[in-house]
Amino acid sequence: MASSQSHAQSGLIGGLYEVDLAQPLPDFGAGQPCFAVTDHRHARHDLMAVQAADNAPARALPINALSSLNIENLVLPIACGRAPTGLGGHACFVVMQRPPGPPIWPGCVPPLGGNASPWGERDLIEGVLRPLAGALDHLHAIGMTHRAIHPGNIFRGRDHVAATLGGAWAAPPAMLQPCVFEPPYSAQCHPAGRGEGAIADDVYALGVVLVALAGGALPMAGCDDETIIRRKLERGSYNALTAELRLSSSLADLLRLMLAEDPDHRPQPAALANPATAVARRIATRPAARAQRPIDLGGVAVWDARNLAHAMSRAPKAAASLLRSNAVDQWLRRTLGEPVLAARIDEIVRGEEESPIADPTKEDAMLVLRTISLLDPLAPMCWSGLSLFPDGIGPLCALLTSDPGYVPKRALLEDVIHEEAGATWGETHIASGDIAMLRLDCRQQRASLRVSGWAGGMRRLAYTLNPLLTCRAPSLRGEAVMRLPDLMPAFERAASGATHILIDAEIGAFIAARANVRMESDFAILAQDEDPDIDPPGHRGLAQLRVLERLCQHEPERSWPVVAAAAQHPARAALSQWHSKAARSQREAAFQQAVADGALGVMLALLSDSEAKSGDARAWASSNHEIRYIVGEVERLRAAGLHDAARARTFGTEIAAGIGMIALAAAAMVTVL
Amino acid sequence: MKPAAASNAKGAKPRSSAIGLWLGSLAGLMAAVLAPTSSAIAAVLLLPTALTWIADTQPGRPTARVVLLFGLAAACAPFDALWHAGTGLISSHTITLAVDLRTLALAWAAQAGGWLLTQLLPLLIERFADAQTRKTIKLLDARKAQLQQEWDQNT
Repeated sequence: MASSQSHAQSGLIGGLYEVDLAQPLPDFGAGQPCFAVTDHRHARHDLMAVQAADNAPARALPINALSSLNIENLVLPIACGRAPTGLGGHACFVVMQRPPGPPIWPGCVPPLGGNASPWGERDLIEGVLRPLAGALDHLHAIGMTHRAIHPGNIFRGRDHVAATLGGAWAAPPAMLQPCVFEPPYSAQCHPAGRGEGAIADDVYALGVVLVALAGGALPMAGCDDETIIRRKLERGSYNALTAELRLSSSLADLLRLMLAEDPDHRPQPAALANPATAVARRIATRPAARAQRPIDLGGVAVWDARNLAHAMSRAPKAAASLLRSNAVDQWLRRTLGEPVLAARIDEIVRGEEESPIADPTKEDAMLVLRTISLLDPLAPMCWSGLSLFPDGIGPLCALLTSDPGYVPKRALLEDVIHEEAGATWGETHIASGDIAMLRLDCRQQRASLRVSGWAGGMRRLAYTLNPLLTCRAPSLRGEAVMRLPDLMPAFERAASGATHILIDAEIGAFIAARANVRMESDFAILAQDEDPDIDPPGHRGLAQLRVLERLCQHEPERSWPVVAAAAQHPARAALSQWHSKAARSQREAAFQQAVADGALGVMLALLSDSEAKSGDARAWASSNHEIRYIVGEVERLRAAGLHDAARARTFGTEIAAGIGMIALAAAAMVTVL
Repeated sequence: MKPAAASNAKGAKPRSSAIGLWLGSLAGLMAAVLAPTSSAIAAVLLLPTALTWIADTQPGRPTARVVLLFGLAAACAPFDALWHAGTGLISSHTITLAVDLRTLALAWAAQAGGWLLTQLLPLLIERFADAQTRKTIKLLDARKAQLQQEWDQNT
């Protein structure tokens, strides 16, 4: 632990790799900042580091799974960590092998553009398809996907024959993938919400790469994303992408297979090693039913069910009113000839009407989502214009919580999670065996969202679902904290001179997501403003100290003088809870010493010694009781002065009478005797 | 019923006082008739008591009682001398025998002493009680100050 701390301070990733900011490698990052790396142990010079954006975290799962593997023709991740950016801050970098050669299409990085010489069929098969299919086959074997296959991320090999597939590890899956390289169902998603996808999506992207290389130009270049998606949906991907391209029949057959609309119809990567065999396994598919006359939705004339689903995803309000007016039902029955589909959609509409959700907007969104799921079994979750796959919630959450400008979309994503739309979508898209897991995930996400305070909500969810998302709190002054043990050192560097509460909503969410112990109650306290009428003094400061003390447990021997100096101000007021002046001054002196020593644990123990505090409270109550008794007694004695004078007079007279009696008795006895 | 009872209670004291006065007068008259010498001596010796009895307006006449006790104590010796003289008639000899100037002075001085005692003792007791109260208050105030110094006061 201590070594990782020293690594973080030295700026070395994993204690070995130094990012050389003076050597940028713009051609190798596939659109992301990329720099050369110096390996301090093995003196390797074939490494590079790709910088992940603050709001688009690196992919934890592939980095962990692939860092110890050796896959031919694939740039693999080696390490991931934080390093200085040169702008006074830090960022997350993924260290990878450097590709052996330049990109096969120089300058072809997102946003894509430019032309290249057309490749021959042999070069395409031997130089690109086979090596990349082999790499994809390895990924498929360990359950991973690449999701960043485009000409700007494919590099020439050492022998200039076999291409190498670049890295795809420093950004969420398919987030930077140009729309044309994605199947329509993935392309219509928000870029951050495309999810891990399947290896069939990588096969599709590889097919588009082959089309681009064969033609020497990007297909549908100059078209916007919506046009690309619509053309693919209307004409089919193969026809849309190869419209102006002359291909040999074998290559055309292969591409038709790779660009099949249904991912189940695309060949596995292993089959692509022998294209002739792959083509022979072609699956006959029934063309989608086309209506005799279109239905108008949001100003778009729609001819088939799949396009209707897409149009509904783009115009959800119009879709909801069309569904409720039974126009869709009639069109499906009478014009498209799909009575079974129409009956199922009618069942959904009636079901929604019988058990309405309290919010009509959400009711419409749920209706449209269910209908789209039936119309297009490949479609993503479409919720009020926001399209995503369930496993894309994490990256999308990270993006939408990064900037206040995303608030409207963030609200939609919150609705998706709150209504467990993923589980509803999964009912028609996922095998019954896997739906239970998806339902559980949805329920957990919803539960996280509903936790009050900083330990819940979208921020917490973003950090929970993205293990490599860096903490984006401004108070950390550019420190990119990815792991919980790195937080205290970051505080120690950034908290100099601070007198306020160090933990803000962002840091609270980060800690709540990464910590093993539950600190919900402390974050609930920190999330509220201190009310002097209700809360004891130093309430929030003490809650912060408890959290910081737990964070210290990663390095129990280390002292944190800067953090202690900052944390003392809000917590010091808690000393006033000690009623005994002697005990308080003693504790104040000890507290001051603990602050100087940077001992957060001692500070906390001094302020929250519950046993001693209850003893102090008991003794204080007893002293108060005694003071009240004294005040009352003094008042009584002073008020009794007059009354006592009368009593003294009576008492004196009685004594005198007594003396008189004694005198009489004595005189009588003397006389008698 | 209650107002009637209250009026009865109010009227009861003067009435009983009047009865007592009548009974006292009757007893005095009978004593003067039956033992004229002793009554005459008693009247002379207990004259201060009689004056005090008239002057004392307090309920139960506590001062007069004390003076009476001291007067009776001083009258024991003269009465003893009178009753041992064996004569039952009033004569100047017996009166001189029983009440000489010294005896009279002693009896009156004793009654004056009794009266003085009723005046001084309450005063002394009051002063003593005051001193005790002041001492207690001082101790309590000191304890209060000590507690206030040790603890944040909330009262």
